[in-house]
Amino acid sequence: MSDPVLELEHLQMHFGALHVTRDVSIEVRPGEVHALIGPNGAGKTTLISQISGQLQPHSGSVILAGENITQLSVAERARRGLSRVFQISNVIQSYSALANVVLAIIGTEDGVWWRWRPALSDTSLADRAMNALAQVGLADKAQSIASDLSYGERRALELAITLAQNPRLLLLDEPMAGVGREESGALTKLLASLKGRVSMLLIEHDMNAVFALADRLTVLIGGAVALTGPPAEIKASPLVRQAYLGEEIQAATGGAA
Amino acid sequence: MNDMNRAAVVNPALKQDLLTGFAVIGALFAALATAQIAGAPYLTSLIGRIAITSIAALSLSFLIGQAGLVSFGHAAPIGIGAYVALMLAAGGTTDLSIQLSAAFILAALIALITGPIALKTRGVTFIMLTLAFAQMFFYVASSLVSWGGDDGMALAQRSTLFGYQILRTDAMLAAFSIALLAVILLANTWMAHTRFGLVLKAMTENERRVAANGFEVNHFLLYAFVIAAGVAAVSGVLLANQANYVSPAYLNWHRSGELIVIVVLGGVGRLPGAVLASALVILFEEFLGHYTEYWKLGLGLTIVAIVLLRGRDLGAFFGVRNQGARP
Amino acid sequence: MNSSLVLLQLLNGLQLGMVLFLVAAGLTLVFGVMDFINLAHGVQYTLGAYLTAASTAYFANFGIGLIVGLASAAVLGYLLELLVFRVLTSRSHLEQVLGTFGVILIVTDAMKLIFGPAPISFSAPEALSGMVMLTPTLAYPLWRMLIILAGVGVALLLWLLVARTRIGMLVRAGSTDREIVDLMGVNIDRLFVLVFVFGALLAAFAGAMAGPLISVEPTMGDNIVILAFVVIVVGGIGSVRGAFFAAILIGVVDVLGRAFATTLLKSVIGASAATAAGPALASMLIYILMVLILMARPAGLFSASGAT
Repeated sequence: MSDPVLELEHLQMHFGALHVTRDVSIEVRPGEVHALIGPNGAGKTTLISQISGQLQPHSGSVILAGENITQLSVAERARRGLSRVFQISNVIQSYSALANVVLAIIGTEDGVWWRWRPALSDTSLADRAMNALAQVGLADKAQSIASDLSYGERRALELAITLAQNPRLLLLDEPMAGVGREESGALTKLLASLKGRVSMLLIEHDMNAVFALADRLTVLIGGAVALTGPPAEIKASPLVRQAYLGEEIQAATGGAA
Repeated sequence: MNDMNRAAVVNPALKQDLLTGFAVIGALFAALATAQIAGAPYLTSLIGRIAITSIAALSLSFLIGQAGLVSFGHAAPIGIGAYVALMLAAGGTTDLSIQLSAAFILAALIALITGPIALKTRGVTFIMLTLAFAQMFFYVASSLVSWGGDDGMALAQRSTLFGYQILRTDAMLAAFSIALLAVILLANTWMAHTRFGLVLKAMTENERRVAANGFEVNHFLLYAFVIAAGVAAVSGVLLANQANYVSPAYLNWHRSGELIVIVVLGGVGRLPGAVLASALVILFEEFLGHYTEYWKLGLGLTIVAIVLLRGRDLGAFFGVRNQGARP
Repeated sequence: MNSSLVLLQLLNGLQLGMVLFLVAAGLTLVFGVMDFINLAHGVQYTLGAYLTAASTAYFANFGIGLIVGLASAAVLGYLLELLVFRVLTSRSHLEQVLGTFGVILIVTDAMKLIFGPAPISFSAPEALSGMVMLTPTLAYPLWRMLIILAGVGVALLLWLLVARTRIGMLVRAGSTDREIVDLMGVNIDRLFVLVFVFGALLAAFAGAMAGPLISVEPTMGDNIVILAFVVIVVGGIGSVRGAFFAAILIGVVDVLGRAFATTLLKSVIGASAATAAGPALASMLIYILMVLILMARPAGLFSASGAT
């Protein structure tokens, strides 16, 4: 088996006395969809933030494709192929879908002087951007202003943005959050269609989506890894059932999460 | 399909800005010509002042509108430009090609030093840091005893270009300033078309997205800060020529405040607004000041009335980056 | 430079610091609670000085003059809040800067119109303009001493108000988390009026107390408000405690710089250069200090919003 795309080695982080990440070690293999699940407050989002660079762990390291990136900034990590899709929809609202993707592509360009080259009339940029939009089924919405898109379309746009950057690893922070039932089905299908082409680390409350997509799961409880394994093993684990799944199922049927 | 792509990424507002911008520049030229034909030298010098102030206002407007950075120290690069003109002219170097580039480069270099410090913060702390740096330069200028100290000093000679005395009369100075305004308009439009412009504008709306795309936000803000300082210094060189005089008063914080007032009054980010607001403030001073020494009372009332009566759309848009300091 | 001279200048610095604190306290509270940048806060300082001077002259009694002057300054502050600032609080910082700048122009010219552009005469009451003996050989102006004591008194009062009363608790909560205050069902507009008028009163008091020491002129508020902004940024926005210590720091550094910078420079760079550079350096000191402090602590010395 080839080397992992992402390795977390003994990550530790605390806010004052509150330990939000306790000795977390996880690896994501190439092409794999690795889901991170756990009850609310288990430290999933803080963990993702440490991977993407918004937060600094107090100890331990984050290794992307063999390179230690623990000390790098968000932007430097992004340029190395780490793309985060945010929990809260995060696009440039006043830009068209196409311009949003173009912006992402020029983020991957190297050098200093490129900045003074035209962006708006560059057809090769626009072609690459269209390509990414087509992959998520947004080709016909290319000219729409992002704020006019539906919520699900905006999530798809975010995916296009990250895909356009040829990411090594997609960090998906609750892509289904706030998306309607119908749209979440479409989004799951979309993510499934990308499976194998790009590695993903997925945080998601929607258990249907998680079990439909994930190759392996890691269960996080109280900031520590409780268990890692394939879906069947996780489903069967009494520990997980007790600590987590019950609550989630309740939440899913009860409505508000 | 490509044609459609291009149509989608091109921002139609840019084209319109360019057109209205040139309309305003045309109007300035027409006003200047009228003043010349009517033989109104006073009006001519007023138009020159309006054009020069507009250049300064545009540079700050770019910084506030495109980068979301409210500098309360923009008088500093303007003053630096004026002192560069004073000192070079005293040494016999009157050529604008040298004066303008020297002013631009010096102000840009200084901004390159002060910028990263100020950019560690946002909001009112950024405002105060830019003010602090400007105050330092104000006191430095006041201590330049051999350049007139507090009182300042007359310009030895107006600037020239390639041996020609192209700023000899006020009309020529006004024409040159308006032409420079046109150049800046073109440059600004071009910049909005570049990758830099696309990123910068996105940044004012959503810093986090832009960082996640792989851009170092503060680098881009620093470029904008440096460019704005350079352009402001250019207006300083013209200002020195217009007044035939340079003094520390150019670096006074009141000047920075007035410039913010002009920019916000005119609507951030657009040339017509900057020119109109510059004209409003200058005409207020000149015409109302002609009748009463309390013209600032009238200006103050006008400003308050405009702010109170105007809708909130501008505020919502530019309030984005100004939500308090970041640690 | 002898030690008693240094001591006197230290006291002068402390006195300036207290004036700055009185102005900055209201500014930092208004900014902290309402996120409102009020460039026109210096106007209250000017009003306090003018109105107290005028009513003192009218009643020929400083005590009555002070009360009438401050009361009318507070009323004018309330009117400004009602007519202008109330609308501006919901606007962007830029529009607040613009609008309050307009207010400065209006009030400055109004003062000029009513009292004339030249400084007006305003002296401390006879009984309080003597000297106090700090030590058998060291005398210090009683009036300045009173300013220091008044500043410390107001600081204690504020501390009690903020730490011990319900309104103080709301103000503290409001400066860190507006939503909590909203959730508690508090009318935040009314809270703002209260905080604003109180801050205006403190600034007017500062103007009235400083009036006899400086020249009372229409633009007197301009420089003090810039210094007050320096104080609140250095102290940490929204923090009264921060404003107190930052005001003392800024006041002492400024006064000591002006008193001794030239002398100290002379021993380093020679007399003639020092005469030119000394005053400039002295004026710059507080800004240099501010830059250094904010480089180390971008949120100020006592940040109200905590570590992150």
